Amino acid sequence: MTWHVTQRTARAYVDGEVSDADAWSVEAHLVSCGHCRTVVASTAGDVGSITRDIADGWAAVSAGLGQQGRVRRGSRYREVVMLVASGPAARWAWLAASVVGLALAAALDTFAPLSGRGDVPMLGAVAPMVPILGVALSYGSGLDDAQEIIASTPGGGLRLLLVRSAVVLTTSAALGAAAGAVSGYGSPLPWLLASLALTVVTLALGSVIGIPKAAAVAAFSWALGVTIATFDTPARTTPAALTTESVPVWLAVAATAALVVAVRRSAFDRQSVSDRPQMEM
Amino acid sequence: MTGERSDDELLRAAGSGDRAAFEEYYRRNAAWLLVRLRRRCGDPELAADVLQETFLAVWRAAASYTGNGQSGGWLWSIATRRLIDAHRRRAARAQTAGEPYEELVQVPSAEEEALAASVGSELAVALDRLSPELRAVLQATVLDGLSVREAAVLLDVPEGTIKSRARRARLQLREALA
Amino acid sequence: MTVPTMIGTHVDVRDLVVRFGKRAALDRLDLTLDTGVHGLLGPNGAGKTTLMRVLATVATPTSGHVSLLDHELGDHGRLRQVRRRLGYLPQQFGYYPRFTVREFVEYFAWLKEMPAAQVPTAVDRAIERVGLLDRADERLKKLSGGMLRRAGIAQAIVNDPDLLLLDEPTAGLDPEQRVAFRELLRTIGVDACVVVATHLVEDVTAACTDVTLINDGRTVFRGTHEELAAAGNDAGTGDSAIERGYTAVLRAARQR
Repeated sequence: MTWHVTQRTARAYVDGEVSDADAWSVEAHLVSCGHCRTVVASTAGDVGSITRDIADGWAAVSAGLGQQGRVRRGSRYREVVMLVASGPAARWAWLAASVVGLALAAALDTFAPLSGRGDVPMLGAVAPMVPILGVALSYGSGLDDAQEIIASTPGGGLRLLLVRSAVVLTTSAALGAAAGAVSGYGSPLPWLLASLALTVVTLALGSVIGIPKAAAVAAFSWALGVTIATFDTPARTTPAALTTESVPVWLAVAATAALVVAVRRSAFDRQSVSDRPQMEM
Repeated sequence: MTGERSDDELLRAAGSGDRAAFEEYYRRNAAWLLVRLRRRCGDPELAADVLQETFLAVWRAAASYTGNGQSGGWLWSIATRRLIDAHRRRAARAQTAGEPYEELVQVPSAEEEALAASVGSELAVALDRLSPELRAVLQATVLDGLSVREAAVLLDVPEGTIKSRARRARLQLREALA
Repeated sequence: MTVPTMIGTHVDVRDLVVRFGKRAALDRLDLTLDTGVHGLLGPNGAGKTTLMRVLATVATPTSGHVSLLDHELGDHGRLRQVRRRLGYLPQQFGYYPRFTVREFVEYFAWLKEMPAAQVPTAVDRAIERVGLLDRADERLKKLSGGMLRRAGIAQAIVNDPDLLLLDEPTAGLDPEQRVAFRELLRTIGVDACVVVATHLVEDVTAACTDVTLINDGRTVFRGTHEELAAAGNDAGTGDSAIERGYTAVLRAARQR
């Protein structure tokens, strides 16, 4: 602070005897200077009408001080927390189903490894389906109770979809990695990246046919692909899609799909609610 | 004694329910806020009401204050919303009662006698040369941080007028400073 | 920071058609609205809710021209601009039962992309305006129907919308709350465009600056409630003048 309001200026300001231009600079200064605010307060102490209003004001305010309530700061972090804490109740069912599914797959891999011709880790086959299902359930599935209002907001389209998808992916990856550590089957990196790629493909495809259908298509294609690969792979080897060789491919797929999402972002503006006629009263 | 604490610290304490800290904060900040509100609405009674509403809101919202040393701006932004709401209520009442709204709202007093308290910088001189209407618009939109829509409510002129006056005021200032 | 401003019309709808299969819910409807509180009346199935959904940018028109807050809704950027300045309360609005009133209102403040620093105080002000401060931290599932409706109104007004759309907002409110609510509507209508779709004629008389009556997807009357009452001098049936006007206008529209 390079300067402060002088006694004389404070006096004139409080008495309403400054020009608009001077008042302007005083007011702009007061906003950022606690010292000068107290100077004004003490200067105003001998103006009857001001001290009366302030005393009356305190009487009224202090009588009205109730419980403060659970107020939080507004921050980007808080925004993400709120966008994630909302959402369809179905996500809890998804979480439970995922835990059970992954645990079963890990158990199978550990105790009764499936070997048709090829050597396919169950976990690798199941894990990429988890986030696809999660995304489908947490966005645009008609399960979100507040969808009608959300559809009218600017953040209810792609932004909400991305935040919720990111959370679904992180959760899936954590669950999958944990299951992988338990079953101890090779590196989880290939199928974690496959999860990522399939999820982004779901979003990209969703910009054309809607998220629920896109999720169904992606999950079905994956299941089909894994089944074919099982019979198509020489004995005792793992399908290429689930080995580290596939890493660059999955990364490329994810990047391409992300590009599609970015280009087609306006497609998410209008599709979170179907245009079905609603009952009128 | 709480005399040593900054406004930020007082607000933080108030946010966790400290009434003494909140009272100290009120004692320090009620005066400038009241004076500024009075200058804006030309109605001491309304200013006193807005003052009370503002501090009640501050008490409730204190926990959300980010504590970045900008408590003055934070307080003023709460106060302006309440000030505009008060004007809205008056306008609504005037409409139902069929009274002309103009009589209820006074545009900030035009020419106060200029005291040579602070040195008349070029900007101050230029500001003083503006017509009271233009100055009021600049004050509302620039100094007070109101949206055009809110300024229109405060000054009781259409939004289009606010925009054109703001444009004219900027133009005249630029010419005066050139 | 440049703040978008309103100079032209808030709602400008021309030749609006919305079809569901073969049925036209809205059939070449015209409507222009500016600041003020506008009542939208009409019998069941007249197209009120469909119109509200189009104005809320939720339903897509089959054909016709819709401009909101001086913007055509064509591209992504404009639509987003308009949506930031919208408030919408659907007739049946879903909510998260485990959310508190404060969280519910805050959630929509974020979705409306309000500046982070403004969110807490804006939420507080919205809850205060609907008179729910003493219940702000109660979970929604514990609230009565009237309180829920008020929480819904609070989320709609949290961003100080330029265009506020309320579909049957007084459903579930008791008479005292209704009076307070109308007062709030008049206050908001001073500098915003408020559209209230309702089947309650007394809501319209008490709070609205004008009335639009739609029937079979078309506008059949536009004027003040006094003018609507005057239309029913001898032809209509009903307990009050405005109800008689309402039935008379509808009858005339159906005979055409």
